[in-house]
Amino acid sequence: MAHIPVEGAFEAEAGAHVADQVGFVRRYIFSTDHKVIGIQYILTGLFMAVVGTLLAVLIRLQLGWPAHQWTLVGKLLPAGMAGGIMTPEFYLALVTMHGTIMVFFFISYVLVSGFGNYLIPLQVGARDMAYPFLNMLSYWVALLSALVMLASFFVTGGAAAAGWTSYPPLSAVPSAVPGSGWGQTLWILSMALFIASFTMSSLNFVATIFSLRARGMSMMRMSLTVWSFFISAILGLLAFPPLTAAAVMLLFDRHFGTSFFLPSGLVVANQLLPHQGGSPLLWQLLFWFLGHPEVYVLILPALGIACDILPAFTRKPVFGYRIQVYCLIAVGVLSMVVWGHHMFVSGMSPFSGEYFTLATLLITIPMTIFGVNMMGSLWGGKLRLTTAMLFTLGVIAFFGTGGFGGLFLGNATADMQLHDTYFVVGHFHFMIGGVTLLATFAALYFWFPKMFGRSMNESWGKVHFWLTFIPFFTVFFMQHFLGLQGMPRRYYAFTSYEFLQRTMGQNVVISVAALTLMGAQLIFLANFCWSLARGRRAEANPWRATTLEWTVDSPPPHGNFGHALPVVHRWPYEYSVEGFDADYTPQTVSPREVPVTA
Amino acid sequence: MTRQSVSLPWPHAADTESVQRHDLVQLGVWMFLATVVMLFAAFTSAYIIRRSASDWTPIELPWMLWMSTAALVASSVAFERGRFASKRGQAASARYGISAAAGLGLIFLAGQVVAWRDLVARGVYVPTSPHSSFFFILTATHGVHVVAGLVLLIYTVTRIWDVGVPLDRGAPARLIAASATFWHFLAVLWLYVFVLVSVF
Repeated sequence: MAHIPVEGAFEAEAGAHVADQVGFVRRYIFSTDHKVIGIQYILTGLFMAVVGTLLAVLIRLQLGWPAHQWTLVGKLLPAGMAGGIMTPEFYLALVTMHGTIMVFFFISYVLVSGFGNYLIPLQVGARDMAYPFLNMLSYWVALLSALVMLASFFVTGGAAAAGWTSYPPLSAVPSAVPGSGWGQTLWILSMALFIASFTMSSLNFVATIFSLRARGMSMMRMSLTVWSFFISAILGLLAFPPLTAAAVMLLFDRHFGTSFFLPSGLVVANQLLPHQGGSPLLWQLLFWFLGHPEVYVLILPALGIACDILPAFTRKPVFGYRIQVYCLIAVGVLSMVVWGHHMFVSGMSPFSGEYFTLATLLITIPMTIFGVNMMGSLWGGKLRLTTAMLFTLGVIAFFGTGGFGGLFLGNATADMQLHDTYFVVGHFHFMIGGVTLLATFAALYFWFPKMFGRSMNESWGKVHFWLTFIPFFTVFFMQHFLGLQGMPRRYYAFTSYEFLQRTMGQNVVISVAALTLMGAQLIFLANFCWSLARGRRAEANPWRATTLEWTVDSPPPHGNFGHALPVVHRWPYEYSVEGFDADYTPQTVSPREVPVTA
Repeated sequence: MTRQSVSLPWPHAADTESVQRHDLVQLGVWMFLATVVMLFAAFTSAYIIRRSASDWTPIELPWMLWMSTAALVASSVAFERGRFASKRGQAASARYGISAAAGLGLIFLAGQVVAWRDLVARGVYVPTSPHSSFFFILTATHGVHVVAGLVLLIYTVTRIWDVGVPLDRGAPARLIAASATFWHFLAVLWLYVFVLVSVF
């Protein structure tokens, strides 16, 4: 039998007994095993989440108590908060880096790259990803990208300050604000590395799902988790390259004197810039061509994972599996053609605005069907409120609430009023903040036993859930109303405006809730670390679930499946088949033993 | 969808596991090309938008571009002749055809560098006009992909150089097919870029 070259890469590390022989470094650090890489992504992402959370603490300190002097914090951060008073430039860097780190380095790494890598081969019945070496490379480029982004805090002028969207001219003129200097250059380089790494990951996801499914695992027998990773990887492949193009042009504008995004007559620091003829809107078009599909890249896996956790704790199939799949596909297609709804106030033609409004509202149809089906999955089920289930219910709650706000923002007429206010901040924190965060926690509690062979503590998990869910809802629900009162985002000294002074009380409540939320994450971190060492030993299938990863040991051995790959006989939601004692039937059980219901 | 039976390298696994549904190299190449298409689509839309500004002054393109174009097209033809030879089992002419393709690819890159030097000698730099900015960025981006293609071609040549390796089936045939896809794509992409910068 011939080998094709890519297989040579994993020949080097083949098999369980070979894996036992390779040293610690090849096994746990420079490993090509998808499970190790997935966990590496998750740990890196969790570290970045801690950084992003600390930035949010500083933001909320400023907004809750604008005049207060934080002497101790000032000693820790002498550059940004000399004497305990935050500088406006530092505030801009904080919001920029908080957004960038949470979107690209936390949610993308943990939920998409982390769980994607861990779950896809296990759930489709493959021994590893299609290109294991590329997979390893993807992680190390991702780590480099994160390090470059973190390094930007320590260069002259500090981190980038042009917002996570990096709109020019702030991002294109190095002398604009301190963060527009080296910080912005490193931001662009880090994003280029991120895109390269994410592209490698996506290639692996698509090829593995497309090509390495076990026998009997037809596309319509794949779990919704795998389906959502599949759609999200395709979106990543198609939507990320345009940002690479934009980043190249932005670098040239900054360092080589071109004028892609810089118009003529621009005066910065009392100096007329030599640029002419460029258009800042061009950046917005290219950025949002990436940026909008990117939010679906993140939220689709969150929804897919939620749909897979539900049946394990309702003991009945997910409602409307086929429709869910079609909805995922429809959302994927539509997400590529709605980017203009981020630019309603950019002076676009009203006809374009009309189109983008219609296209955006069209997306709400498959998304609503998806959400209603998730609720339908609860109907008549025997609910078991474990921590993973609570977080999944939280996903549904946030998805409904946040999605409702999206109706207003997707409509050009309403968006004209709400654009760049806290209404937007509240909305996107519910969606790509909350839905994805809660799904990440649900997934961590659900698959932790599979990953590490031990279970997380359930009681502390529930405390963690309530101290996450209630403060999170408070913070971002209230921010919608701040937006309705006209409070603009990214304003450091909002109290300078008389009409905003009466929002002070609300901002204090939001800050207290936000600090509670952040403090509660310490419970999670403690539970995570404690359970790694001391958690209760987990059996192969602690949740009595049906997908393939639960048919192997916890943690699964190198190569995932022992002597032979599994053969799949049924869909992944075979729960409570009538007339049979066991209320779940794994996908590998033959139809002779238990009839196939779908 | 052809089901290929490949032996997987897990020692504890059964000898053959019939799992792989597609040629992974070819599939990977096609997906990568999709990302390259999106990259150049973004550059194209930027080009069209930027072109509508009043300060767009076209630069005179170097005649050398025609030479490099000829070299790249000839390279594609040479590769295709080599590939046909490999299918008919004529290993020697296959090796020469694909090696010639790699050589012509190098000549193409040299031609691009000469074209750049010609522009610089005439005082046309990256920021001289939006047209020159796009010209340099598009040719450089394409050039980077050609360098990647050359690495793939040279790798292919080394893999098929051993006399006695049959080229009409198995791994060598799939490798040749995948690098052919990539290499022809780069030629077509260059024709596209050339038309874009010279006509529009």
